Amino acid sequence: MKTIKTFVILLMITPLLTTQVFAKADRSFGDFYHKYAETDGFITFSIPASLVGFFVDKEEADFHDLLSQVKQIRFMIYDGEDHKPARRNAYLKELKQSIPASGYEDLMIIKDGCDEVRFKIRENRKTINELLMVITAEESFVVMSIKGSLDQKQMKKLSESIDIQKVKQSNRQ
Amino acid sequence: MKKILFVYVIALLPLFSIAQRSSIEEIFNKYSGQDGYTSVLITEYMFNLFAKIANESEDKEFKEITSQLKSIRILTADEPVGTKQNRSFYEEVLAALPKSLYKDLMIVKDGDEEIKFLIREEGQKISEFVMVIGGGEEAVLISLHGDIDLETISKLSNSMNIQGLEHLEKVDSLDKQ
Repeated sequence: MKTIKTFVILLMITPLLTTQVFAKADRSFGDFYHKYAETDGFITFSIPASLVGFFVDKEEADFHDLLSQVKQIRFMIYDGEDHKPARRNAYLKELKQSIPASGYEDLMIIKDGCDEVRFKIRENRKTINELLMVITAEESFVVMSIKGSLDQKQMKKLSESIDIQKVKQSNRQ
Repeated sequence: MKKILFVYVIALLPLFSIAQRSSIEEIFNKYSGQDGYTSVLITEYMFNLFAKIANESEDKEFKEITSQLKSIRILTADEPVGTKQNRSFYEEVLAALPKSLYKDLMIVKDGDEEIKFLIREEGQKISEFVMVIGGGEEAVLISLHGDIDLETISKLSNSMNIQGLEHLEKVDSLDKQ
């Protein structure tokens, strides 16, 4: 009787555990992005697939197949210069939590004092679903997310060619 | 009683090797993120990615070098820190590398500056390659993890444009032991 009881309890708990896991995996930078898109201090914009071509250096000939695989590019720039440190740190903490350790692989981490540039990738078998670049500094952070279903070669080409200056300029308009 | 103790020690052995393997990591983690220090970590995942991607001829050499690498850690002190501080960083790093595991490969002295190359062998292969510079204007620690070939290491600085790697070219003059 005892073993049946424990077994039943275990059975009941397991769905709870798995939903926790799924819930965590679903929680993503996207949620964080949408949550703070309208908040003071945050600049966010996304480039839909159709417009990606505008920001990409067209000198490279073989881009069309690449672009067709990119679903979305998102940018989030947070400038916390005018905010209190507590508020800045809270945002930063929440940002870090929105990018779960499992599911994303670190590619490269560069630190210069307390500034950090981190490249992460989310892969599903052989295709890359997302490339994340997170730059954190003392008072600000920048996140760039490229989503799509790219194979690794395409992803590399794409990340090399995004012309960040163009993106900044268009944002000012 | 003796038997239990024996089993206990055997069980703990893996822990010892893990602890020693991460002595470079400990130093790296201690200093990275601190003001005045720049650190770069390139993960195994990144190398795997490059290995899969690099088909073009320009990347071939790079692919050759990096296909066996597991990780690269580079730590440099930014501003020209006083000679004394460099010296202590240098000494701290060297003190953290147990002599039983890390063998001196080469030592280059240029006035006050000292560059030490160390390797760690596992069987016939070099599993880790460490370069430490201190005492002069720079304080640098470079650690390569993986299946390392000395000949290709000296070429690494040509392919990767990261400050500090140019010292690796000195390895080229070494005879393979």
